[in-house]
Amino acid sequence: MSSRRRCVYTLGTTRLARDLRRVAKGSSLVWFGLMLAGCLDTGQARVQVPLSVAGTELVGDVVTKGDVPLTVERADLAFGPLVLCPGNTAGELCETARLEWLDAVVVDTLDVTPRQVGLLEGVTGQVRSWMYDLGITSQLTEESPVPLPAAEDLGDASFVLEARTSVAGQEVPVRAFVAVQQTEDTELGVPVIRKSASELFDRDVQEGEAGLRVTFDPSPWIARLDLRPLLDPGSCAPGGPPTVCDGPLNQECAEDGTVVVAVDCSVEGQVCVQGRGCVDALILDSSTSGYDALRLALLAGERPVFSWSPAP
Amino acid sequence: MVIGGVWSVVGFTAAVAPLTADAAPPEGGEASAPPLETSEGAVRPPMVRSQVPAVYPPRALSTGRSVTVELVVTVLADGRVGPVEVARSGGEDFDEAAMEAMRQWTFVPARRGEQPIASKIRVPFVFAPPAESVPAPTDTAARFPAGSEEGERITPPPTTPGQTPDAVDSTEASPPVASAATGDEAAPLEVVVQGERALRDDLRGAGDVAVTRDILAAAPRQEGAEVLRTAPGVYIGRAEGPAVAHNYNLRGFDAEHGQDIEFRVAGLPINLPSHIHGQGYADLSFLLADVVQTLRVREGVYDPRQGDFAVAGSIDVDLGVAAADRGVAVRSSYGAFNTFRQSARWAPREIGGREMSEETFGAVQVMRTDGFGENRSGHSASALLQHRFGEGRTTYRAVALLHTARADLAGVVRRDDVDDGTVCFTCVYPYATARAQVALSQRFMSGLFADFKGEKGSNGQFGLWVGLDTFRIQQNFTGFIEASRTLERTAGRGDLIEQQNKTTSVGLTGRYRTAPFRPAPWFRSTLELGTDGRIDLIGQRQSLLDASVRNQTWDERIDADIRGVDVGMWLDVATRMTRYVDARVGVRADVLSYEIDDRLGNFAPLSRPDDSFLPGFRRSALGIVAGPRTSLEVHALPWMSVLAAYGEGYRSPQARVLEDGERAPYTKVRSADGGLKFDWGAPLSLNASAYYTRLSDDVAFDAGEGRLERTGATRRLGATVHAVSRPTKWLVASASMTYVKATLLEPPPATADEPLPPFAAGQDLPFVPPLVVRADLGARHQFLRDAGGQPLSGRLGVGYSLLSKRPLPFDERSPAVSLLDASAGLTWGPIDLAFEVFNVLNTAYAAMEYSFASDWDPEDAVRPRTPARHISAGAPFSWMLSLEVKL
Repeated sequence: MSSRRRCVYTLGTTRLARDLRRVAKGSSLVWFGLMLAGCLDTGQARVQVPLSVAGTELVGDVVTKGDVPLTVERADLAFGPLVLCPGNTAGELCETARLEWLDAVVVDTLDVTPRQVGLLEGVTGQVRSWMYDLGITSQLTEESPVPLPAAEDLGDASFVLEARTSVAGQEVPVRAFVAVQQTEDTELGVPVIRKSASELFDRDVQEGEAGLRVTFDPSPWIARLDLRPLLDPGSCAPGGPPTVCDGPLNQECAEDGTVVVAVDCSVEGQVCVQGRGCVDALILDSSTSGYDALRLALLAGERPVFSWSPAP
Repeated sequence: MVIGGVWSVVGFTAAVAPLTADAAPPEGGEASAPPLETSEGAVRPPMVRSQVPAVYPPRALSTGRSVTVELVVTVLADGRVGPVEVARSGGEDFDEAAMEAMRQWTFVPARRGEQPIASKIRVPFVFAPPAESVPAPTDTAARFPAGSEEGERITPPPTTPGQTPDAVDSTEASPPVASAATGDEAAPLEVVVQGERALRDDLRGAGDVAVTRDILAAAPRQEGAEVLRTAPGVYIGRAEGPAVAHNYNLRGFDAEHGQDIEFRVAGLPINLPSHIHGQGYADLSFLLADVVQTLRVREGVYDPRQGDFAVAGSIDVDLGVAAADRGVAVRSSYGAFNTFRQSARWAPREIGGREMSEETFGAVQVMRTDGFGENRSGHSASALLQHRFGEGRTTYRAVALLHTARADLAGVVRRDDVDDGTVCFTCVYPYATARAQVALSQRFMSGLFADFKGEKGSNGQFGLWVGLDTFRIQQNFTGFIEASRTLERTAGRGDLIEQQNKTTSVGLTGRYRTAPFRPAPWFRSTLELGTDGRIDLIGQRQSLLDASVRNQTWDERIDADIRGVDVGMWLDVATRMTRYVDARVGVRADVLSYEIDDRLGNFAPLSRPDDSFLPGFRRSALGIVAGPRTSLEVHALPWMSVLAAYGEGYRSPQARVLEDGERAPYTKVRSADGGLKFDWGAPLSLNASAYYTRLSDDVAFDAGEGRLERTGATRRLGATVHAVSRPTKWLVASASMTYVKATLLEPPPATADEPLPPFAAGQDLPFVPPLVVRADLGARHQFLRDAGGQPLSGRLGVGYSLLSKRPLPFDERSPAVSLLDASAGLTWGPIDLAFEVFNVLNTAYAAMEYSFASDWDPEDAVRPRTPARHISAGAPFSWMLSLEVKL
C-alpha cells in the first residue's frame, strides 16, 4: 500500500507526469478553443422562403380595345424561374442572387387560390429587384431559348389564352399561344422580365420569412388586345384585300370591289376572321398584332403583385 | 600516464569565425607540440586541424552564468573525433553545446613515431556570459546564423595543439580506445566560449519566435515551404498545385498567397507588390527543407525593419547547412502518385583550405508528379546558392535562387455536385474549359549583402538585390457564367480566366546601428538608422480564353503596366535600463508611388458603339505612411519576461485600382501585443500572447475575377500559446495554438457592379479559421555506435495540424481540417533512408473552400445564381520513400 502510494507520489513528481499534466491542460485549451471556434458568425443566413402563386378572379368580361368584350375562359401562364436580386437593377448586374427559384409551373391566372409552388432559396438580406422567365429560359451556352416543362405543357408557350367574344351575335372563340423569350434585342442569358429601376420592391429578407406570393392579374394584359382589325366587319372595295369578312360572311372580292362569292362560315360552325376566311377560332399567332400586344403586355405591362407574408 | 603539454587558451568573437592571426595555426594548418619520449618511441599529441566554435546556449543568456564543461575526447587515428564524454557537466544545454562543437572538430592524430594512434584528451569549455559592452539583450531560443546582422554569439577554438593524450597504439585504436583519461593531466586544453547577446534583436513581440533546425526537421514535410507550419499560428495549404503559391494563414489572417505576411528568404524580399493573382504574392515553392536553418517569426508589426505586407507579421527564413550535415549529399525520393524528386546539395567544409560558413551551400531539386486525382500533374525545379565570404569586420554574402514550375490545376468543384455524384472529390469537370487549367511560374532573385561589425558593438548591413518573376495561370472558378465585355453577344464560352504577371524588381537595404551609448552604468542605448526600398516594373493582363478553340481570347479584362516605388526609412532606439528592462522605440515611414497605364480603363461596354473615345486611363498616386514601432520587455525573473508592443504598419495596394491622385495608396495596420515568455531551458520554453490588429481596409478572394478584391475595415483579437520542449536529448516537441476572433467592421458599400457583397458588418471574416493548432514531435536515437564501422541511428517524426471550422461567405462554413503526418528514418554512416506518410488518416478535406455563384453545367436549362460551396481538394493519404547518400 505504502509502496503504491510512493509510486504514485513518485510518478506525480516526475517530469513525465508534469508534462502529461501540461498536455492535459493544453488539450483542454484546444477543446475550449474548438468550442469557441464553432460559433461562427457569417453575417448572413441561409433561408428557404415558400413561394406561392395565385391568380385574380375576373368579374365579367375583359373589355379589350374598341370596347370589344372578351369572356376569358383560360389564362394559363408558365411562370419561372424567379430570381430576387440585392441591387436595384436586375439583369446582368445580378450575377449573384439573393434568392432564387429555379423551377417553373403553370399558373392558372384566373384562380385566386394561392398555390405553393416551391421554395425560394438563398441568403438573408435586402432584395431590391426581381427578374423571371415565363417558362422559357435562355442560357449563355445555348444558341436558342429552352422551354421548361411548364412551357412544354402549354405547347412551348409562355401564356395561353382562351376566350370568347361575340361578333354580330355569333360567338367567336379566341385563342392565343404566346412565347416570351430572349431575342436579339435582350440581354444574353438573363431572365427576360425584370423590374424597372423606377418600380418599388424592397424587402429585408430574414430567417423565418413566411413566404412570398406572386399574384397575377391577366386582365390588363388581355385588355391590350385589339381584335377589331380581325373581327370588325369589312366590305369589298376597289384595290382592297381579296377577301373580307362581313360578320359571318366570308366574301371574295373582285378587283373592282364587287363581291364575287360570299360564304356563310356559321353554317359550318366557323367564324370569319379578316384575312383568314372561315376558321374554327380566332387564333392569335405571331403574325398578328394581338400576339405582339400580349407579348408586350407580358414583358412590360402590368406587373404581378409580390406580397410578403408577415414573418411569424 | 600523463604527458605534459600546454594548449593555448583562446577566446574571441568574429563574424565568420576565422582564426585570428595570433591564434592561427602555423602554415599548413597544423601546430606543433613537443613530443614525449616513451618506451615505444616519441609520442606526439594530436593537433587541431579544424574546429567549429561552440555556441553559448541562447536560452541561458538571460541567466548570465559562467559555466565550465569538461569533455574527454577520443581522437581517432584518422584524426576524427570519436566518443566524447562529459567529465564535468555544466548543465544539459552547455554540455550539448560543447559536445556539438567538439564532434565537428578534426585533428592531426597523435603519433607514436610516425604511426598515427588514437588518443584521449581532456578539453574544458568555459562558457562566459555576455560582455556588458554588447547592446540589447536577446530573448530568443534561437541561434542566429553566423555572420548575420544579429552578430556572432560565440566562439573560440583552440588553435594549437598541446594537450597530452593518453596514447594508444594505432593498432588498437579502431574502434576508439576506451581507456579513460586520468584526471591528473597537466594544464588541459581550455576553450573559452564568450556568450554574446544579439547586436540587434529581431524578435520583439510576445508572439515572436525563432524556430530552429531540430524542430523544423522533426515532422515530415512534403515540400520545403511546409516548414512554415511549425511557426505558431501558421497554416499553409496547396489549393492550386505546385506552380502557384501556397495559401497562408497566420494568426487570423487569411493571407491568401501572402498579402498579410512579409516573407524574406536569406534577406531577399519574396512578396510581389500588385501581383495580379493577389497582392503580396509570395511563392515559396523554391524552398528546400534541407537548407532551411531557422525561421524567425515576428507576429505583429513592432520592428521598424518590417515593411510592406507585414500585416499579420513577418517570417524570415535563414538558409544554410549545419556543420554536421556539410559535404555533398544526393537524395532520390519516390512516392505516391508517381511522384519523383531528385535533389542534391553541396556544402563544402572548406574551400582552398578556408573553412566555409554554415551559410555557404548550393542546392538543387527537380520534381515531377502525376498528382492525386485528375489534372494535377506537375513539374518543378529549384536551385539555391549562397556563399559567405570575406574576412575581418566586413563580410559579404551572395545569394541567388532560380525556380520554375508548371502544373495542371484541378480547380474547384461544387460541393453539391460532389454530393450528388456529378463529379468526384478529386476530379475536374469534363469540359475543355476545366481541363485547360494550368499554371506556370518562373523566378530568379539574387542579392549581395555586406555585413559590418564595429569594434565597440556598432554594426550594419548594406545590400542590393534584383528579381525577375513571371507568372501565368489559366483558371476557371465559375464555369460558364461570363459574358464578353468587348465582343457583343459573345458569352458562355467558359470562364477560363488567364492571368499574366511579369515583375522586374530592384531593391536595396541598408542600416547602421551605433555602438552603445552609456551615460550611466545601468543604462545603455543604441540607435539604428536604416532604409530599404524597391522599384517594381509590373506588367499584367487578364483575359478570358475559350479552351475548346486553342485558347481563343474572347474577352479582355485587364491590360496594364504599373511602376511602383517604395522607399522606406526607419529609426530605432534600443535601450536597456538595469538588467530588467529593455525598451525599443522606433518609427518607420514609407513613401509609396505608383504610375498606372491602364489600357482598358474607361472602357464602357454598355455604351457601345463607343466611337467617341479611345479606351485607356493613365494615372498616378503617391502617399506617405508612417507609424511607431515600440516594444517593452521586462525581465521579471530569470526565467520569465513580460512583453508589450504596439506598432503601425501598412500594406501596399493593388495599384491598378487606385484613383488618380489618391493620397493614401495603402492599407493602414495597427497592432498591439502583450504576453509572457517563460524559459525553463531545454525542458520547456513557452510563449503566451494576446494581440489586437486593425486594418483600415482588407481584401478577400473574389471568384468571379479570380483575384483579391477590397472589402472593408477589419479587426483581429486573438491569443497564441507556443511551447517547445526538449525533455531529453533525443526528443523535441513543439506545439502551438492560436485562437482569433476576426471581424469585419465595415463592409464595402454595395455598388452597381457589386450589389451583393458577401459581407455584413460584424460578421466573422470569411476564410479565417478561428483556431489553428500545430504540433511537431521528433525523436532521434543512436542505436549502435559502431555498426560495420559506422554509427546507426534512427528517427521518428510526427506533425499534426488542426484548422477549426472556417466561415465562408453567404452563411457557409467549411468543416474543420485535421491532418496527421508521420515519418521514420534510419541513418547509417553516409546513408540515410526515410519513409514519410502524409495525411495518415486519409482525411478527405478541402485545401480551400469558397462560396460563390457558378454554373458548371452548360447543358442545364436554368442557371443558378445563388452562391454555392466550392472546394479544391486537399491531398489524400500519400507516402514518400527517400534515400540520401552523403559523399
